[in-house]
Amino acid sequence: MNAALVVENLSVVYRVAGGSLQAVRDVSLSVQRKEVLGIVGESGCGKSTLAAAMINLLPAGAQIRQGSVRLNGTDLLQLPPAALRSLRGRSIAMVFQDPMTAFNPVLTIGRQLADFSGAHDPARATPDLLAAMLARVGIPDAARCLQRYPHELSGGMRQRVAIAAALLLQPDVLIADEPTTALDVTMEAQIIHLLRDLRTSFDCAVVIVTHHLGVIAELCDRVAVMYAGEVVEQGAVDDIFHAPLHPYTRALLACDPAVVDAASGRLPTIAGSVPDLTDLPQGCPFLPRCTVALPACHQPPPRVHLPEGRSVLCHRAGP
Amino acid sequence: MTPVLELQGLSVDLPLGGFLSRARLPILQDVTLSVSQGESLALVGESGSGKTTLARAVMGLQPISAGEVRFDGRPVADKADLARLTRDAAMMFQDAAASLSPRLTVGYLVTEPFRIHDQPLPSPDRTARDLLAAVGLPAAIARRYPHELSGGQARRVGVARALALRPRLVIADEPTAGLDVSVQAEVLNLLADLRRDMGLAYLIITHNLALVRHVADRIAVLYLGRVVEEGPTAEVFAAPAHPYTASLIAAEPKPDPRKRRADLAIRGEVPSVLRRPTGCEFHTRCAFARDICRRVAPVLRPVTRQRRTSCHFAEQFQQQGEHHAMEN
Repeated sequence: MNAALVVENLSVVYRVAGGSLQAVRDVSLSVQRKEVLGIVGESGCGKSTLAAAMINLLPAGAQIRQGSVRLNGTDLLQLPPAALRSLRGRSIAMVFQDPMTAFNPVLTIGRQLADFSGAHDPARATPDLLAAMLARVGIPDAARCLQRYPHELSGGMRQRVAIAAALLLQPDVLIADEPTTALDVTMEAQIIHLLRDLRTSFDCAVVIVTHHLGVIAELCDRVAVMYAGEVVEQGAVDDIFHAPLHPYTRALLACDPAVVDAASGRLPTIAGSVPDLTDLPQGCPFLPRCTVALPACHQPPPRVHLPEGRSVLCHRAGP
Repeated sequence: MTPVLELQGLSVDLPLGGFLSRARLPILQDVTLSVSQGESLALVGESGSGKTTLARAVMGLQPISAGEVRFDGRPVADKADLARLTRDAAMMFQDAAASLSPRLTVGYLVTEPFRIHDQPLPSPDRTARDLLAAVGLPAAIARRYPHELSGGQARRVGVARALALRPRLVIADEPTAGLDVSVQAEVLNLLADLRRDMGLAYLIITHNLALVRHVADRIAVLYLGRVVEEGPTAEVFAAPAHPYTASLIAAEPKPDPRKRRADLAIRGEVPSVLRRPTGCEFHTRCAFARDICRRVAPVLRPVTRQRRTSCHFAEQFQQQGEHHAMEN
């Protein structure tokens, strides 16, 4: 099958005082049309940097050390700015965490949506088409919504508008960075349903970045678990949740308050803290917190490839 | 047990604004709740349900239009009462990092409550060290500034600050919002330890139901500023008596891909307080609404000895729910 977006051996560093911070280290993954890929990990694991690199929107100070991000075969990291601008929005689009700051507060929703799509294709910027798209993402009274300003909408409605804006030009890939973090549970559930529904009707690939395991389980087909800048495990969502192989994945799933029996009293935690990304150890970065470490773990762990696209970065997973 | 905090018929309204307008908008309506010593009560509801307004009203940050707040059995009537309350009840804010002044060291910040309330502080360094140790932070952190802390550390400093004056009650607004799951677990364990060791009472404001299950003995569900259901956490989760409670529980994403929901339990969002629905205010989103729900507002009434709810059909609804739970 042809993947819509392929990331290969990507490494991104940030220049910081006294060295470089290795935010993304040798990450390879791919996502196909009609598939939802989840990227999960704790704060500082590099998941947002990876998402930004996927659309080549890295902040100043970030540097790509190696690797490629190919969208339908074209390496986004090598494109000149003008060519990149014409691809963004049309072929690949992004939804951000905070739906308030994604919009200009002094322009109406209709004006902003017309600007997004009009920049690529003026024929698609008619109020009728825009209203139809808003109705598609579940906004009641879509024609009136076009006349409104961002502050007049609730957080959930703004996030729906942001998703509508991203889908206006029917991109091949939609990237969403923590799309439900700022919302209530009831709205979160509705946005999850919307995204699940849209990927089939729009025939696009969806990448979701989140630290919420419940969102991953509800929405994704495949998952990549990140730790200290690396993808430590990836595979089908059911395998990851029901038969995790990497000790970090296991620990992460075990300490989610939603899975622990309330009567148990105490929640399991992951002792220790994430390693310093400016000064990484030579061996496995999870070693100091790992409860099943071997002597071999002081050496870099191997990437073990298993059937059905599953891979694990661990000495324990080897033959 | 004597309640530490009691709210009796508490109502809050806000001015509607507008030129020469005296109209006021009811935000909280007739809320009656109590928290006993060593007990933990969770207040849940969507944004706009009045959770934060309630916490602000308790702490005297929001004028009350009717009803009263009683602390330690005595009504909070004047400034002296309020000073006593703010000393013995501490607030943990949602955005822990933003609630810490960026120019002060952690050591100063955790001992600041002593200075604010003119309490004796013979050796600030030692007090700071003890407080930080109580929340599991190393003493060296006292010399750091807030921007040098991680999210979990900032949250712990917020807890240390709240505990400084040995409060009897802690009001925690979304204590785990924005934290990673492993850090969430640490904060929840810490809250449980402190409750056991110091006999603290908690009023926890959250929309995270997983959290409620772990830290709360009782739960109160707010909808448009009214309590619609209240009772022991385990009982309410096992068989919610109000359709709103049931749909909140169902809306929560389950961390198991085999338990994906085919359909949504609840749609839309909370109606505006400017246009409160008639009858039962939840009827516009309720899948079980009947004619009477659109006309007659239900009253909050006891369904069992420890539980109250405001639904015309609570008994039938609960029975159906139990059938459902058995089928699953």
